[in-house]
Amino acid sequence: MVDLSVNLSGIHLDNPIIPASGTFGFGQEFKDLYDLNILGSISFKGTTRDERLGNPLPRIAECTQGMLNSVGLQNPGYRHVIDQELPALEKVYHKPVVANISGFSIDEYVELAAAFDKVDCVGILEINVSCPNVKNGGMSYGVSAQSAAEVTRAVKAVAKKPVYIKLSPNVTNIVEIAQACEAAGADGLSLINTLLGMRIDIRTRQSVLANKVGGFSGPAIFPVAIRMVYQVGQACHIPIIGMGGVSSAQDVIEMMMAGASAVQVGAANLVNPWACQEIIEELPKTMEALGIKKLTDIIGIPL
Amino acid sequence: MAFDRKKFKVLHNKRIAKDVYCLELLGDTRAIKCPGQFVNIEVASYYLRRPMSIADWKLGDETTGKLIIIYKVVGGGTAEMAKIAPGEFLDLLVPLGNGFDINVDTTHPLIVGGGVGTPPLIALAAQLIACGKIPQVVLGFQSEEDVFAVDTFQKMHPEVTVHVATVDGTLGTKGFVTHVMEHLTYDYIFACGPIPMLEAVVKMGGALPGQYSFEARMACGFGACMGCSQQTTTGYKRICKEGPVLWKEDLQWLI
Repeated sequence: MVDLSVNLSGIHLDNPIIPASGTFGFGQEFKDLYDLNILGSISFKGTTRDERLGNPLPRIAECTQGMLNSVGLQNPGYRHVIDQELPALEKVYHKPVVANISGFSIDEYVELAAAFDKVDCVGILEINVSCPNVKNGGMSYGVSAQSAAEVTRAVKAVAKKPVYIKLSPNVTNIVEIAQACEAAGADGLSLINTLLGMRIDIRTRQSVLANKVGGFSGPAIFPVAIRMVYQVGQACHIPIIGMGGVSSAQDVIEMMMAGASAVQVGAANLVNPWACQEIIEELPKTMEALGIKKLTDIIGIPL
Repeated sequence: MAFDRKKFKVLHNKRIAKDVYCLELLGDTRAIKCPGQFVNIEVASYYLRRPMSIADWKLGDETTGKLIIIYKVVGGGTAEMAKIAPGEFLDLLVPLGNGFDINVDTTHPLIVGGGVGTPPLIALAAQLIACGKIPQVVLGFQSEEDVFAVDTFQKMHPEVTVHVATVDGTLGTKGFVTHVMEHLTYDYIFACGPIPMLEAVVKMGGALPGQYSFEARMACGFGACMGCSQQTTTGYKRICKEGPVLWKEDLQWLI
C-alpha cells in the first residue's frame, strides 16, 4: 500500500492533486462527473473584490500541445463567492479548499485575504500576483521582488491561514521574487501561472484573441514549470505547489521530484474533465512501478 | 444534467458542399435531449476539442444510436477532421449545451440558417414538424457551391418551404437571409449563424419572440473555463452551458 498523502503548512491532503484555479470553476461543473472528495483540495476560480466581466471574445486559442486564454479574471466578486459559491461547493466537497484571490491594489488583496481567512472551508490563501490577462494589476505585483514582497507582508498581517503566493513565469528571475516572498513571510509558493503568449490568424490578419495576448497553458509549458519549480525549490525553504501542463501521474511524480509538495492540474481538466480522477487512480500504480512508497519521499530529491 | 465521454464509430465522413463535410457516427445518443445541443470532439494532434453542433441523431445505444455532425473546414483542426475515415473511433463529450425549446407558442415558425450555422436547425425542423408546427426555412450562403441541406429540409414534409439566399446571387435570392424574410409571414424565429446575421435577423424580427443559437471559440465546452462567456441583457451567459441557444430577451446587446 503506497502513501499518497502530503502536507501543506499543516494542512493534510489525502493526495497531492488539486485542480488549478480557473479550470474548475467552483466545482459545480464537475460534481456530477465524479466524487470531488477524491481530490486533495480544490483551488477555486480567481476571485476579486468586485464582479469582473472579463475580456471580449474570443478568449481562447489553440496552440501546439496547449492553449491560450484571455478570460481576464471573470468572477462574481468575493461577497457572492462567500455567500453563494462556497456554500454550494461545501455541499459536495468536504475538505479545505484553496482560495485563489487577485487584487488591483494592496488594499484589495488585504480585504479579500481577511475575508477568506474567516471562511471555515478555506484551508489556504493562494495570492495570485500573476494573472497575465488584466491590465494595471494582477501580474504587475508579481513581476518585481519588491511589490510581490509588499503584497505578501500586507496579506500576512491579516491572515491566520497559510498564505501561498502564486508566481508568474513572465519574469527575468523567478527565484529572486520567490525569495523575496519567503523573506516577507509567505508560507508557501504556487508556480507557475500561465506564460504570456499570442497567436495570429494568418487568413484574417488578426490576433486570434480579442485581447491580442493571453496566458499559455497545457503540456507544452511543463518543462518550463519543472525548471522553475526546481530552481525555486533549490533556493527557498517553504512548500511549493507545482503546476504547469501536468496531465498524468508521471507528470505529478516529476513535478514532485522537482520540488513540489503538491501539484495542481489545470488545462488538462478542460480537455478531459476526468483528468484529476484518472491521475489519482493512476498514481498508486505509477508509484509502485517506480518503487516509491511515500510521495513525500520524492519531494525535491537531489538531482 | 451531466454529460458523458463516449466513443463513437465513424460510419461516413463525406463532402457535401465546398469545404463542408457530413460526419455520420454510430454510438450512444441516449443522453441527447433536444435539438441545438452540441458535442466536443477530440481531434488527433490538436490539444483542444472541437465543439460541433448536432445536426441530427437517432436515439439508441452504442450499437443502434446515430449522430450526424455537419462541419466546415475553416482551419487546421477541421482540416484534420476531414481526414477522418470510416471505421475510426472518435472521443466525444456528449451532450453539451441547452439546445432549442420547441414547446413554445407558435403556429408559423421561421427557421433561419446562415452557412455552417444551418446544421442544428435540421433536427429542430424535424421536431417542430413532429409536433405539427410546420416551419418555413430560410438559408443563407455565400455562393451556390456552399449550399447544403436544402433537400434535407424539403423532404421532411410537403408543406415545408425552403428559401435560399446567396450573397453573390448564384442560387436563390441575391443577398442576405433578411432579404427573403421581408416577404414572409411568421410568428416565431429560430436562427443559427454568424453573429452579424443573428443581429440582422433579431432586428428584422422586431418584437417577435425567438431563439438564437451562437457559436464561440471554446476550450472546455462544459462551463468550466469561462472562455466563451458572453454578456447578455439577462446577465453573463456561457455560450457552452447557458447557451448555445439564447432567447430573444437575452439579446438587447445585439440590437
